[in-house]
Amino acid sequence: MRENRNDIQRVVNTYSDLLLRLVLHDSLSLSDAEDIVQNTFIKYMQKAPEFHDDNHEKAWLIRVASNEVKDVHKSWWKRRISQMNENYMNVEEQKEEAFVLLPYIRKLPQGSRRAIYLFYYEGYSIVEIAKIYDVKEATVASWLHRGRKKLKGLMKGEFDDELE
Amino acid sequence: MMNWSDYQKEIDAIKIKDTKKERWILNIENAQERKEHKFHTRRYAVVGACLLLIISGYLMFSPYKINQSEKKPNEVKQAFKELPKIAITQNNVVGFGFAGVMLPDASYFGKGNPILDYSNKTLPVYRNGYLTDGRDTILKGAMKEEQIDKIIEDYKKIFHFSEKAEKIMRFDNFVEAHYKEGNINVNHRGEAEISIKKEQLKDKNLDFTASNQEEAEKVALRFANYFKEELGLTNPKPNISCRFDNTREQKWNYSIYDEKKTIEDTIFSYSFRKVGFDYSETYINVIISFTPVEEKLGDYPIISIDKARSLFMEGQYISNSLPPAQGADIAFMEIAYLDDPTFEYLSPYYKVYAEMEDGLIIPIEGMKHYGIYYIPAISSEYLDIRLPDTSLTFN
Repeated sequence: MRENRNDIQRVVNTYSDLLLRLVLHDSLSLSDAEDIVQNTFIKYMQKAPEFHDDNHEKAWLIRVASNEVKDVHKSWWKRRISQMNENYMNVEEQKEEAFVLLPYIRKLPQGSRRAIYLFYYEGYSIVEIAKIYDVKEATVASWLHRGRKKLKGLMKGEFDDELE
Repeated sequence: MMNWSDYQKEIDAIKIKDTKKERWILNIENAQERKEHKFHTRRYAVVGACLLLIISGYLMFSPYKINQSEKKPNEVKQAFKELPKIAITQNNVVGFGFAGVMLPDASYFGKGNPILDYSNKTLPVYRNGYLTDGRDTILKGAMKEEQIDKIIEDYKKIFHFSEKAEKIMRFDNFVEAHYKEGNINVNHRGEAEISIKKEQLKDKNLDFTASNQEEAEKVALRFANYFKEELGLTNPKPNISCRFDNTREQKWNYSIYDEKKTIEDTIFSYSFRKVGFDYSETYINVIISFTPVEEKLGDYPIISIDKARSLFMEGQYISNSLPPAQGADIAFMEIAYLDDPTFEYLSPYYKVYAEMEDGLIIPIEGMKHYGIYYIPAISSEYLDIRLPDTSLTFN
């Protein structure tokens, strides 16, 4: 178990935005996404894995956060009744106001939306994404290809797939 | 025409404020401490949970319990001075279940909790019958599969479903049984959702249309009366709240409670025996959420609403919402029991709503965002405060 406050501060300050952006590619409310990011940090501190370098650490956090997207213990009542009140924080529902592309990307299969985030935003290569999720490079290439194709279809020609 | 640069700009906008990061760091440190503490307490909790399961057993989760308030946990009569202290903690993992609400203005809060009015001098505290560490470990109260099966069998009879299920699907935390007439889901907390095909209803005209609070109450009562016999209700009362989606359309949360002969029994029904209704194209859904409750610890003296107000203004509150906006006034407040699965006790809190500061919230024209802030309603001398923020004394 890690106990150093500096270590907690470093990891939270370095990776919070990255992990929140990643899990918000799933259809979650902001509060659920934040819970998942916090859980990821708690696991990091409690499991205290050994890392070769910063990239290894970052990849571990991405993988754990991806696996954390679940909702096991929350009461059905809270999900069905109370959480309805959280809708305003659901990024998907804000597309007219602020987010245009993200709501469409959230409609893609899970592999595609994660690969798109890591490839187009974080700058990971296909080889690196394959290592993070322990899949073949061809799988990641397929996630990206299908994701782009479906995104263009969803946006009905309003999306240019070329990188500037 | 949009491109990947536009996507990158959108994602750039998702940032966590430094104040929130600081709160997370405190939360993580607190979780570390709880982990260490749990190592020492888990074995006792497991033995205790086994004993309690044997003692309270199936009765705790019985679907018939809604009309059996007389069977509520035995009261332990104690003078105030002998009351045990109530631990006040914060669930940093699943939150308080709320992040906030969006309403056009404070007048849309409705009536709030109709039972726990501000004239109460004491309120009961119960031991929570279902406890988790907030993540992967259920410490007590999880139902076994055979108990879940028994509840499904009971609901099948109560709601007049066919004898034989067409399909039964078993998941980690719940069982879903499909019948010709609809579906029954029961989870490991004993919560159930009964989805009845609309074509099965005798009254084909049941609907949820309502344009104001009064009409919504009538809808809830109509449904409660329709299922009165099945749910064993004696005197159902509506409990309505409204919500808005991003198109600013007003929708209703329909739920009911059972008014009992004594105020304490009614509080119990309202707080721990919730029944809600909603509908889809094909189904009418009855959602039953019975909080597993163990013994009553006693009747605790509570602080006044004025005291709660002043504590809020001093920043003495627990919240997973963003902080209140500068100078924000209280928009609404009520008393509510929190049934968080990480809380050892089910105790009353003043639940304060106030406009939140801007953060990651994206404004929607004509809507205000209210955060939720909790203040323990129990007098501070009976509190055992275990919060990472040591400035919270609630004195």
